[in-house]
Amino acid sequence: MTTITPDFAHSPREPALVRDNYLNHSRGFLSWALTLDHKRIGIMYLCAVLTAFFVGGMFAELVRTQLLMPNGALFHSADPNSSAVYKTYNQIFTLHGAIMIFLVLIPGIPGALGNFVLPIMLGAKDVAFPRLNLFSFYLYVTGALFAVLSIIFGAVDTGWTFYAPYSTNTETAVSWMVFGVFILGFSSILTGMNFIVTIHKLRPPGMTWFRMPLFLWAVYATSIIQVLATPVLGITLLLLMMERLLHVGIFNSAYGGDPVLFQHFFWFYSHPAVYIMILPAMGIMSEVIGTFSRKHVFGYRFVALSSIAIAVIGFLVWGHHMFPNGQSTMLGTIFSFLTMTVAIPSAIKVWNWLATMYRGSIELATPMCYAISFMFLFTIGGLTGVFLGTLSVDVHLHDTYFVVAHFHYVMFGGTLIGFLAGIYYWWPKITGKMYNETLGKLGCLLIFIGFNTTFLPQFVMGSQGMPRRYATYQAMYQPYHVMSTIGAYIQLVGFIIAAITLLQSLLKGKTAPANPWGSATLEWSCTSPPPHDNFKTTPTVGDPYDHSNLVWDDKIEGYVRDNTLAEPYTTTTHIPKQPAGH
Amino acid sequence: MTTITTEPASHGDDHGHDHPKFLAHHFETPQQQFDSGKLGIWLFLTTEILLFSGLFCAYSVYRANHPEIFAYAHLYLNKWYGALNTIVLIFSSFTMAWGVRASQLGQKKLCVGLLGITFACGIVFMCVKAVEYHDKWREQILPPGPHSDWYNPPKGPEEPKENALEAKISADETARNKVAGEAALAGSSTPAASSAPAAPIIFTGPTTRLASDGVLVEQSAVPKAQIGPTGIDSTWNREHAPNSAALGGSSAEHVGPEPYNTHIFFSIYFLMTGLHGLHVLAGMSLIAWVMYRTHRGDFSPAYFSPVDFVGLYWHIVDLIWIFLFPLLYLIGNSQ
Amino acid sequence: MNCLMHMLAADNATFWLPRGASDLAGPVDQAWNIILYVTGLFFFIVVGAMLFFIIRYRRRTPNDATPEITHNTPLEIVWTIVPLLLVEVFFYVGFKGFLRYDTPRSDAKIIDVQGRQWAFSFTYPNGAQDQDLYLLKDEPVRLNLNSTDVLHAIYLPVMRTQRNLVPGRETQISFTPTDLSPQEGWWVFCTQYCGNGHSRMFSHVYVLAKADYDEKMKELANPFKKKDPITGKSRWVPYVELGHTLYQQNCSSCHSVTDDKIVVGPPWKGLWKRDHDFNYRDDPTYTLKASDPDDKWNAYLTESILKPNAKLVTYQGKALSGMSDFSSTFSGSETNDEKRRAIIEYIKSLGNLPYTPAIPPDSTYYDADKYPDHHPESEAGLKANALTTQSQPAGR
Repeated sequence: MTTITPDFAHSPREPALVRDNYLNHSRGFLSWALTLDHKRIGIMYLCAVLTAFFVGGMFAELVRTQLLMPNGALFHSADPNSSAVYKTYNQIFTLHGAIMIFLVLIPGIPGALGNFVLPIMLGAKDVAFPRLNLFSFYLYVTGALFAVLSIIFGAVDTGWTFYAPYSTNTETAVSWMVFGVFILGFSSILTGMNFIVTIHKLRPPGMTWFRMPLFLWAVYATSIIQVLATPVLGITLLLLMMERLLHVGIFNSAYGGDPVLFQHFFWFYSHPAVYIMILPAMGIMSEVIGTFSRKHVFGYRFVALSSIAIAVIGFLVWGHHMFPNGQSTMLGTIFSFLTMTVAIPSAIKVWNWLATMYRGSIELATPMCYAISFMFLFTIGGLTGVFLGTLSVDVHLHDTYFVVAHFHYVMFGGTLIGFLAGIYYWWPKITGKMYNETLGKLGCLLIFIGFNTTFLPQFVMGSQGMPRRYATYQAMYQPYHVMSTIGAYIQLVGFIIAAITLLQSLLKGKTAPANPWGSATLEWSCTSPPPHDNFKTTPTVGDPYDHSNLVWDDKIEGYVRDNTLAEPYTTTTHIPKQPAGH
Repeated sequence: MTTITTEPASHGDDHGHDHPKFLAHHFETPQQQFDSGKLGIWLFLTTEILLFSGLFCAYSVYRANHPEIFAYAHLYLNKWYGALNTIVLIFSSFTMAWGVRASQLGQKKLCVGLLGITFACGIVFMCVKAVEYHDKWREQILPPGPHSDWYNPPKGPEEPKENALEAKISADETARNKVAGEAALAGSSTPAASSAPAAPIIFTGPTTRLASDGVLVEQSAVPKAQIGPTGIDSTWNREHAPNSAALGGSSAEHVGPEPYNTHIFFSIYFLMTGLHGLHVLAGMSLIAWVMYRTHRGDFSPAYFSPVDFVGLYWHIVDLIWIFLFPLLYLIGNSQ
Repeated sequence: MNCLMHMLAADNATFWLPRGASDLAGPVDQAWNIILYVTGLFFFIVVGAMLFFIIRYRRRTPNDATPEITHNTPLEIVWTIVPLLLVEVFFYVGFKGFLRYDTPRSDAKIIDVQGRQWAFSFTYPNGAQDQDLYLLKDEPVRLNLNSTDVLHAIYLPVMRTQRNLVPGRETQISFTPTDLSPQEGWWVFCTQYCGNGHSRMFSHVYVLAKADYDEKMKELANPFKKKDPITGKSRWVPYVELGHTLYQQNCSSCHSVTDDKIVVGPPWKGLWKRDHDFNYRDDPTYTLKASDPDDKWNAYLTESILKPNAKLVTYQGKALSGMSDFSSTFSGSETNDEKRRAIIEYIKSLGNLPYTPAIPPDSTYYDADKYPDHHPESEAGLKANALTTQSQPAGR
């Protein structure tokens, strides 16, 4: 039998550390701090993003705790006419939003998973500009540092949207935070540039555009948005700082400026930003669902092009954040119409994922559990977006808890759950270890239950009229708030278990084979963890979703490719003669 | 180890004869490296254009809504300085492009010379800019800002502070009028938040409270917004009415009574030219770096992409100025 | 739980929405229901299919063969076009409702709304001003929205309408209330984050029948007496509070009370018993110093309101000119005289020295049900109740 096995199979149970891989290739602090290896940069991003997530999550727990009581459980004022004490609450929810959006959701999947996976999945040795990649990471760290400094110098209390003229007048450290976000924006732009050039120019022979895995299409579309939209955020924040420092009179009506102009500038970036957040997660979904259904992803072309469509149309809908804010009727109408169209590519993806599962062979491993959660939660999030895109209904729902619930369903239930699915999916590849499936699934279940308990009641209380960003509220909304807070505590337990799962894996996990899940994309054909140079030989490019010749090998508890089975769906290409040393 | 190929495992640093020194190890061929760099720099230039687009957008909005401000205030700018700057930048783009060509042909000395002329043009541009800014400073035509007299009108002769409380109130107010975070950014150490002075006075801290029948009404210290055309009391305008002396020219191009909020034009002017000036300085640093590398002999006809890419950046900087100049300096007088 | 039950029991309230009480509610609720049912249907289809597939197609062996289905173009086109058409139907329904929200009627009654940190203030056509919104049933109304400082928004959930209050411009909402409100009224919230007191910035809206409405308007137009809408108790408004209200209506555009800036006229803050400099006096020997007695100060302020050009002050080095004639507003009737005295009392309270009202604010003299005839601080009231304004602590 001429089963061809990958080049590590000599000793499948060999502990990962003995083999030369990117983790042990060089040692010492500087070998990490000055690394040009995209995999190590990805790990550093992952650690930083998870730390920021922890901090943002703690703020969220404080927010929900405050809202247990109508007059505030943590911060309340005995004097009904004095509200100075609520400033702390305002700072906490602002920081929760700013940290989650700018330090976790926007850089998260591209920085942590994209950096690690993209070159290997593409079949390249590294990204196009490795030094720029490292620079992006240090820009992230610098931006995060300014955000932390802003907390020390008088934490911002404007909401993450920094609306003028409140943000141009408040005495809190807006300029520090805004400068931090400005720097984070450049980190995002440079990452996007790197990925675009990598995908355009570093594809191996045979990897045509429509042979690329869908995760790469998603990251590509994300990178386009990052490059085009983030500079506008940059100039907006620059103008905000100038307004505060020099009173230039652009946004502050006291100096002749226009507050609504700020909103236009801000949302011109921030709406495409939400697509920066969701597109990579959708890419992960395509990979995970395809793999764990052991089936070709349905409608590849539509899914790939829908990512591009979302990126393009996403630039045209920013005004739906401003329907009752002072823009003209005509503008509102146009934005509402376009907002409806942007829902369709996302819907297409959901249909395609469902069709992928149809007549597949579905295994509910932990990544797939997160993928199922995503489908449930993102569907709710996306459908409730339709309510908000409808003009007359949005007038009733604008700036209520309905909006809060909607964006948590798409950003948390969508992006974050997708991020977790990706972490659990690529964990064996990144670390060379497996984790305890039962524990992993338990964490997923608790997060799912806790999440719905927190945010489903928020839809109802929003449509019943409860406004957002309130430190206190009228007594009639209390039952919803209590339920919501209980859900937050359940989620906390869930995340603790999810973290324990991964920590336990690092310390005591079973050695991972190259391809534990049976996926056909290129990153699974190198060792777990990958070698320093990703591939010892330029890989053979085939159909990324053809699982037919991947067979389970009990000895290594993973899948191996058996080229004697069935004609591969597409022809393999020649392996070109490699120069010595590659 | 059973492998598909029999290539040695280590990739090594010795790339052999077809992996020249300038070729990064993750690229297969020099052409791939050059193409990647080219795509990269064009993407970066796109982001630069988008960065300035916000300012152009703000310009468009305010000019569409208040053409009178632009028609009046632009007269304070000297269009001859602007024209000089335009000519200097266009000339520098020419020398830059020629420099790239020289680098491509391996003409090291010529390249260094042309890059040097480009750098010198950049210096001339910044000097003219400095002269213009200095003129504005002299006439106090500046954004209101914390150091301008416009927002904090000078007090009359100091009234003796008989009352310690009164002194404390005005000291508190001065602290309140500063935005604390900005003071910290500027290097001084004003504490972040003003603390509420102790009672017995009713008016404390940043809010005003009226105590009556137990009803406390808080008001904020945010400056009152102005509605409609009344604008802000711009007393400085009246002291600097445009006349032939201010223009440095012969004819008084007076366009009627001055509109309110003319500071907006200058805010936009300083923001746009300031950001552009920063980019010119960045471009000059890049040119200096590339000059040094050329002199050192890093480049050849096979590898000159850094010169090419810096050239592209310089052209964009020039292009942005070509838009700025007519929009700011050449507004017609038909209004 | 009681709150939940109470809410559900309200007329027309559903699980999702509070009752609707304006002409906008119908289209909004209709759009809501259409979207809810259609999207709910799609949600159940997606989740149902997913759960079904997980069970029906669960993996049996690691090497399961699956059919090689890669695409089905006609199906994909259908499931693109059908949702697109559906959402554009939603758009259309929403657009119609939005037009009604956004288009004010020409016959609407105009009420001015001013938002500031952190309270709303409603001014009615008859000049009355109040913190709460009173509407006449079935009368179209248009609220002109202004803000004096930062962004705010006014949100009436029961009327299904809201809009931002943008400083520097005037926006509007208009609707016709269709139902009478319960005793406690309905909520008016601020929904645009505006600082510390954002969650404390709320009001009530009351929709009244004609008779009640007319009575309320008359009552509001009388600034001296206020009636609590919930308890029904009436109180006399202390002059300091009334003076503040009159200040906001008549004087705030030219005089500051929060700092010592000259807006147009001298700031009132710290004015009482502050040494004055004049650049013009009808009596050249006139001086006004901090040590002068209350009577002289009262007389000076009275003259400043009624004959403002008799004496012109110099403040902070600036020679200020006079102001327009307010004599018709603040003299000529007992009411106007008392309003003037209220303003003066307010100016007194803004002085730098501690201010204590002549009559304590919690005094029963302010109970208008007990003492219905005279305001305790008015000339007539002082005489009737044998009070004097001399009961101030010495040294004031």
